[in-house]
Amino acid sequence: MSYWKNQMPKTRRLWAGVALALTTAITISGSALGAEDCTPKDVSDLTIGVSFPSLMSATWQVTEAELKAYQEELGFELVEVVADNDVNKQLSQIEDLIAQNVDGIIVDPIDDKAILSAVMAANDKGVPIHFFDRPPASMDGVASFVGSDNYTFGKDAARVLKEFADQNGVELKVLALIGALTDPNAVNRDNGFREVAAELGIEIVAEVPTDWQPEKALNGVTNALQANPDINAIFIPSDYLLPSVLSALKANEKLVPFGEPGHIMLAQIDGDGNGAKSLQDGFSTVDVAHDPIAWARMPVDNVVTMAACEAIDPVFNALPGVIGTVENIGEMGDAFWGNGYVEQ
Amino acid sequence: MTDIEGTTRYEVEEPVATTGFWRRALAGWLRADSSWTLIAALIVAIVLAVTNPDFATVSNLTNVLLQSCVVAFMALGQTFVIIGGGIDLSMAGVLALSGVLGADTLVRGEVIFIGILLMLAVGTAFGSFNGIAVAKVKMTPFIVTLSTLVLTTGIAAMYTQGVTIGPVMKDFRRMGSASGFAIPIPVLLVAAAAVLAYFLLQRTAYGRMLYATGTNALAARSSGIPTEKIIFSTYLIGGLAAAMAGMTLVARLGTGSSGMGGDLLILDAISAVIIGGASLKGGRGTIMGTLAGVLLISLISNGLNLFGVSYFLTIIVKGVVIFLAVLLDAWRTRAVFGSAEA
Repeated sequence: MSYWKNQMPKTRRLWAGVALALTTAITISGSALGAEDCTPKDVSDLTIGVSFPSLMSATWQVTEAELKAYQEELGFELVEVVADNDVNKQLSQIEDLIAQNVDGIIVDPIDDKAILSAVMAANDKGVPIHFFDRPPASMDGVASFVGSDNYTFGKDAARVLKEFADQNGVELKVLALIGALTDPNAVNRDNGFREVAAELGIEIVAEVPTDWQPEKALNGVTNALQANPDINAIFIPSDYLLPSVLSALKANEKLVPFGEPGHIMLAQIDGDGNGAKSLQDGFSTVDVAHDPIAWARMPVDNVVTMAACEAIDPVFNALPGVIGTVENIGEMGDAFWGNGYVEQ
Repeated sequence: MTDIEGTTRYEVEEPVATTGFWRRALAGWLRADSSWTLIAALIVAIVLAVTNPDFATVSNLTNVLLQSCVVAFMALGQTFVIIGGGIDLSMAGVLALSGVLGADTLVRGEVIFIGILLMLAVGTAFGSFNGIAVAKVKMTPFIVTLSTLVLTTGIAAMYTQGVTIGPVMKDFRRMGSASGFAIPIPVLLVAAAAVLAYFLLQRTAYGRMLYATGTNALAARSSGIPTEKIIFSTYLIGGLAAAMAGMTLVARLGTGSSGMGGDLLILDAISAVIIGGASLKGGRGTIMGTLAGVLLISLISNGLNLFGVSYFLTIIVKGVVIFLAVLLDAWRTRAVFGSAEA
């Protein structure tokens, strides 16, 4: 004791003091970090909640199937809720997931603005919330997003359509279908398509707002064909609407395959089984496909990463599309996801 | 009393109750349909509490109450309409239109009070519209309110052009959420509305006239009851209730959209009223019963979510609950009026 107080040289005391202070500071900050941050959890201990807007689209059905397969592979617990396109229901279901203290919620919102209340609720209770397919109106408080680069999808559809039109000496007169305006993907696809259309001089002669409802698409296309008999191309922003369009064309005796006179070129987005078949049959010209397998796996990976106390990178992940055309669909195989879901 | 000659006096004994006061009170309470609904709700709550650890937490129970507020408002308004012998299918549309207009006002930064006033004005306007059509013009409630539903949804869609309006200011959103207050504000509002409705319905002359009108409008009119005004008032109340529901939903979602009324909300509201003891034929129903019905439906929904019941099974359960509600109504009507009426 006396050595430290009385006999230790001044400089050594000074260095001892500094060392002590530094060690204390590091220990305190270390323990402060340790107190506020997480204890790593193994994936098999995790419970993940997933909220679907509905299961009506084939893309979502495949995402759901992939989630279940991934769950079996990794061993986490999956709680699934489906909101039937009811905004209120989706909020209530997410609140109930929060009440179950899940380790992460993965959500595809019906309405990108209304979902912010759910984000607020999740943040209040400290439950990480991740998005797939449709991004929220604001990424504040959102842990991650995985989806398609829908704006570029729209541009690609327009660009490839024009290429085929030019190859065949066709002057495009396009009927543009529009999805639900509460869906940011519908808005982005439409904007992308129109931007390239304006650039390349593609004429859009009519448009049909469908609110993502097949009957509206069916009636709208029928009416548009009556009013504009010179329509020779249709932009269909989701393969979910494709059956309605094909019905409308068939009913008006305008369902003619590629290469034959009177053929109406179809440019689509999604890449589901119907889209793939329509390309194979020659009715469709181009279909830009998503990656629903990535939509299932990557958000789960993000939840797992957060649970392991690591950082997610990138936080906003907009994936490029796979372009299938009437010419290359035969060689694409599994790269185009719809090929695996064609009904024979 | 002096004996009158030639008359025989009969001594009458005062009847003495042979069972206790509390036993008779309980028997009386159990005769009411709403009591059985409350018991059913309590049983469901107990089963959930015992079988699911996430149920009996403060946050979950607060959620259940909060989530039931929109349906609760609609059901309270629907109670008046149904007791009067009518039905109001337009509530979802009035909810959406008032929600959309209110949300837009709030988004533009107007004072919250103005937004609320506007929403109530929309509810009053369309409630009056329904009331005049049914009471004065004598149109069929089912058809009239269905057309009002289409009209209001259409106006809302045209106003928004399909786009969601919002998000509204954070203060308003906080008012609709579970955080920050011990009891969420919408729950308090529902409670206040329920108390008001109870007094109006079961403690005033107006209420008695409404029950009479619903039981037999012709007889009521012959007795001097102003049945037209009474029926008009029920639809006005329905419109106001729908606006309150819209306000609550805007606070919860932070947005207004033409589709916010949803497709099945009105079915939940009507089911709650029927489960709570009302009859689609009119003349029966209580506020307590309606609230018990709302609680039962909310608990079932919450339970299905907490147990992660498969999505398809959930739809089936919902359908079965609604079917049972209508069956209950038919069974009760038969019990009261005899099988000829059923």
